[in-house]
Amino acid sequence: MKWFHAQDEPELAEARAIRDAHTVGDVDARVLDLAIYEIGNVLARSLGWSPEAVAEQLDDLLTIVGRPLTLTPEWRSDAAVLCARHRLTFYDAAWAAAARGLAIPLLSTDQQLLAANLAESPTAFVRRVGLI
Amino acid sequence: MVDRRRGLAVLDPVSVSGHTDGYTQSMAKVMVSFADDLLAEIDQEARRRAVSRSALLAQAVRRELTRRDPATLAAAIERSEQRFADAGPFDSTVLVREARDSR
Repeated sequence: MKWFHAQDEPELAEARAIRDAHTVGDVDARVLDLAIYEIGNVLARSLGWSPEAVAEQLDDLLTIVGRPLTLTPEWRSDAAVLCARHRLTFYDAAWAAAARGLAIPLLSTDQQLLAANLAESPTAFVRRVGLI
Repeated sequence: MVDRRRGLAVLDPVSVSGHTDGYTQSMAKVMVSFADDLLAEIDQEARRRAVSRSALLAQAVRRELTRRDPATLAAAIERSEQRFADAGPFDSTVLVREARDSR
């Protein structure tokens, strides 16, 4: 959501740099199908958007990031392990397991995932790959 | 297999051109040319991911074929920014965390 929302968002410049790199094809950002439910939930329940706005936003999200990933059996097993090992929710563990399965970094500003060393912050990522 | 003189890469060892048998899908064998340094990067990444060169290249091509037009992406981003413009101040990470922990 940092790609679209600006007010009071930490690491905004870094998130936007990743978004812009994705737009031109320098970075390929992917999301789990879980993103549809999690973002839909935030838009509809936390922010109180209209059903039309929620649907349109999710359509645009998928236009931007393409077909979402679905957990493979191996990723599901890994997610269960990560869930227990790091005391994460299965939602958190699912994101981490997908990234591990694809051998790509999970970018997140979530402190639980960062503390478990299962994610890389946008700031660390843009510095590492030289986007900013 | 790499012919260093011509920077030629063969996608997986196959004996003749045409279609291979013995795979779950019919697969065409193709010959493509890469600069040596690019091929070295491809092989390094394939080793890192523990996949074959063909698998890595197929994945990259598939992604390229499904990649959206940058203008289409830019339009979707602009619409999204407009929708969020009046959403007020919040940290989206906090909202997602609250949602995950409340379930």
